[in-house]
Amino acid sequence: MKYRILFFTFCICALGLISFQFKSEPTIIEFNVPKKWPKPIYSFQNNPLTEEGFQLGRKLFYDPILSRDSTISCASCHLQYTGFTHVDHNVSHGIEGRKGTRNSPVLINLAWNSTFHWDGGVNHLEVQGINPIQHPAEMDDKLENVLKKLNASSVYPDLFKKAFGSDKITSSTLMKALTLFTVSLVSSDSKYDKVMRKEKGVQFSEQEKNGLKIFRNNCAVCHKEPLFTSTTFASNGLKMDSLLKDVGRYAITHNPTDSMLFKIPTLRNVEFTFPYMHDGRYKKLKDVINYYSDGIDPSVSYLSKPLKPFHFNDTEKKDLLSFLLTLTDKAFLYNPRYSFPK
Amino acid sequence: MIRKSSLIVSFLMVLFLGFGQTTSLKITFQPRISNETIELNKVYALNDSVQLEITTCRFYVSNFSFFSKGKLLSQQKSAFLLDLEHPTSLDLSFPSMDFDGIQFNLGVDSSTNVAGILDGDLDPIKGMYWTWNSGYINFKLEGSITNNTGKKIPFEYHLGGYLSPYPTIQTISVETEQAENIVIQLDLQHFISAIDVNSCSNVMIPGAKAVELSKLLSNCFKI
Ligand code: HEC
Ligand code: HEC
Repeated sequence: MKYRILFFTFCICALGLISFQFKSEPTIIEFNVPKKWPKPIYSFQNNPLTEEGFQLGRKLFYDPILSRDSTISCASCHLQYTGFTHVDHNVSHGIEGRKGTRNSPVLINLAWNSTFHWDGGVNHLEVQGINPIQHPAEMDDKLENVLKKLNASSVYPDLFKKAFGSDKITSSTLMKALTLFTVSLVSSDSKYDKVMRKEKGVQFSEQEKNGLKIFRNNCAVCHKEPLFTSTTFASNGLKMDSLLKDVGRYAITHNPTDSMLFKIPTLRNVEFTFPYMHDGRYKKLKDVINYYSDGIDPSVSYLSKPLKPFHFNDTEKKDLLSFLLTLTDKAFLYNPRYSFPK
Repeated sequence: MIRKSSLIVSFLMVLFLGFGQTTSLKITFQPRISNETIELNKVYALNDSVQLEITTCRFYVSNFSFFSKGKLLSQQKSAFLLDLEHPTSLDLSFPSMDFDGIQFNLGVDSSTNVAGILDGDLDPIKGMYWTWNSGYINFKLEGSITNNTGKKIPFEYHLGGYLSPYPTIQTISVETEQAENIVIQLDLQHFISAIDVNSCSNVMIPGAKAVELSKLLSNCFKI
């Protein structure tokens, strides 16, 4: 009797050990916070950053399986070499060419954001991905249906098992995988960064230096360094588009003082993220600078401080533009780790 | 040796008993019209002239606390989705204890609303989540009323929102004399009768109206 019990316990322990040995753990990788940057908002506590999870998220990001008719992937509206935004269109184009109502934002340094979308309506990066999947003018599918397709696929269950320990794909593991990819899109290697880090042989030209001064005096309150956004909401005085009638943050909070406020976008890689603003109304960076210089209507009631028409002269405009171009980070825009997985 | 093995056996028994113990208190939620338990898609007469039909009734209850003489005995921080379409979801189990008061939330608390993607009853595919304005729908009631002229007015109340100044979560306290097999009734007749369905047939976003209706609902629970 007693030996049998002992033997039994031994067997159970041994079995446990063996199965433990066979279950390969995903490889934890570190999330690198650039020197002197603030602490990221996204905590990896419930979603540890792993190589398997990142690669799975990357594959999903580029896979049109997430749309109803398998024609649109996340990358259709978020292209790497434009800072992960749409090119050419003022508002995003989705399934069957349907038009959305807003310009797709860049996906850069999302780990430092606490709200998402132009109106900040999305409160966590992990739940953002449900929006494009279900939006009738984006991927127009149902989350249940996407999960069904993924669970029935010949490759995904195995990849989810490697990343999250279970081959049953759920909303939670799908969203966490997408998040591990998008949260890893960190741009911190522009000329501006190199100058700030005092890297050998990298210096601002006189023009860029003047541009930085103008920027710090007039723009940096909202487009705050080093993220080039304070990640809060403001109005730069743009008037409402008469067709889109977008009231911005007000649609979420119903607070009259939030009317016409939009999330301040980062200016990193701004050289390539055209068209600009929530409705993509400006095609060229020059147009934006001209707007801030002479286009602002100071009588607009929702205009945020300290904005006013800045009346830059031609040299100042050129200086400012040349500074903005130092925010281009080619190592980010062409990083093979973020590109279409081969 | 003999002693050791009997130790193992008694340990297993304690474990077993322990598990048995943890599920012996049953709390059942019963959405009602007058004195009947509601069936979906059935027509009820609210009074001589108005009929009511409910097609969806689904809501979250969360964070149950049990009290004895005002003293907190136990607290459980989880959320349950109750759905008339799945009657077993209306039965909740808790560890049994000697209590005389229960407190719970109608809805999901704000920390859960900002916690990112969640599983189980809180999975967004349960249809109780707003995606473009992230947050849970605490309470969903859909159906129609038909007035004496035969006009049918459909209604949809999706109550939710956690942000100040319009948080919709409600704390509900009930007292009880017995500490097992509790039935908590939700009097929806009281709720619908207090709303002018004609002028307010749709509430689908967070805001003042959602708060008003949530407060009204919180007065419709009783033992
Ligand atoms: C049809 C175009 C389209 C597709 C496809 C699309 N997006 Fe977007 N994305 C947008 C638009 C437009 C917004 C801004 C929405 C708003 O502000 O209301 C956005 C916003 C975002 C944001 C928030 C960024 C920020 O800083 O606020 C993230 C993250 C994002 N998308 C990730 C994804 C992922 C992941 C996918 C694939 C599952 C995806 N997108 C598919 C157009 C698209
Ligand atoms: C009061 C805050 C504020 C100040 C100051 C400010 N901006 Fe902006 N900026 C915004 C907001 C808000 C938006 C988005 C507006 C929208 O889409 O409706 C924006 C958008 C932009 C964009 C478009 C980015 C994109 O990806 O679409 C550029 C470029 C820009 N600002 C440059 C500047 C420059 C240069 C200055 C200084 C001359 C400046 N901003 C000053 C708040 C500000």
